[in-house]
Amino acid sequence: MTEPMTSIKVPERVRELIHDVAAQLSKESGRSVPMAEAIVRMHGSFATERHRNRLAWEEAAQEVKDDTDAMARAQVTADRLNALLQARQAGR
Amino acid sequence: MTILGYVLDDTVLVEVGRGDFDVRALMVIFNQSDTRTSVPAITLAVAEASLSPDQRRVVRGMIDALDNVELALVSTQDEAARLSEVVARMTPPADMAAAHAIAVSQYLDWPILTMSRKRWAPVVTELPWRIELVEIRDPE
Repeated sequence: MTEPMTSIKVPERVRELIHDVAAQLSKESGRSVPMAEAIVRMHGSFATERHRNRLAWEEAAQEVKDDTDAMARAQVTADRLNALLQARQAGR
Repeated sequence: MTILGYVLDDTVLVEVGRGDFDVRALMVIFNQSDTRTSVPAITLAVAEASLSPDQRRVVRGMIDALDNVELALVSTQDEAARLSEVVARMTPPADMAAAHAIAVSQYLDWPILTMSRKRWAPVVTELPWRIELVEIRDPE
């Protein structure tokens, strides 16, 4: 079961940071402070998710970059596919 | 300068997620050589449906991290109309992954990159247009 958000302890420093950013957003956008805080928290979770996704790809990409055989095979394929695109373009 | 590139189909996205080294390496090299690729959002959604959460992360991370990869959305009336034009000609239930790939391919004038022509056989036969497919694996 997913842990309820309210049970997750947010460090004081993070809490202050969220509050400061939300206060600034509230000032700039005219939204209420609670609404601004909700927006900041939502963006924070998106940013974390995005960061984890990028890390997953970067790890996967590093693995293939370390595999010289796979990279060599892929280079041959890429050359063929790029040549196809060029030929297609030239034929128009 | 004309921008050249490929539209990725669901079979390619699934293999990126599942860890096909050759396909992942191809995506890395495409990025290095600035070969553009487009990922239709509905095609992505269908591909992700067959992947685990960790595999989805890799695909999403690739789209986010690589500058040459662009997500093609359906966020305007024109984009919806282009998709609808394809779906309307498919036998229900429409193959939405294919439909969005075709709509984007027609709009960008880029071929569709696929792991398998067989995956496209039912779609190709029922549509009135020529669908330009390029298989990643060398047919020879």
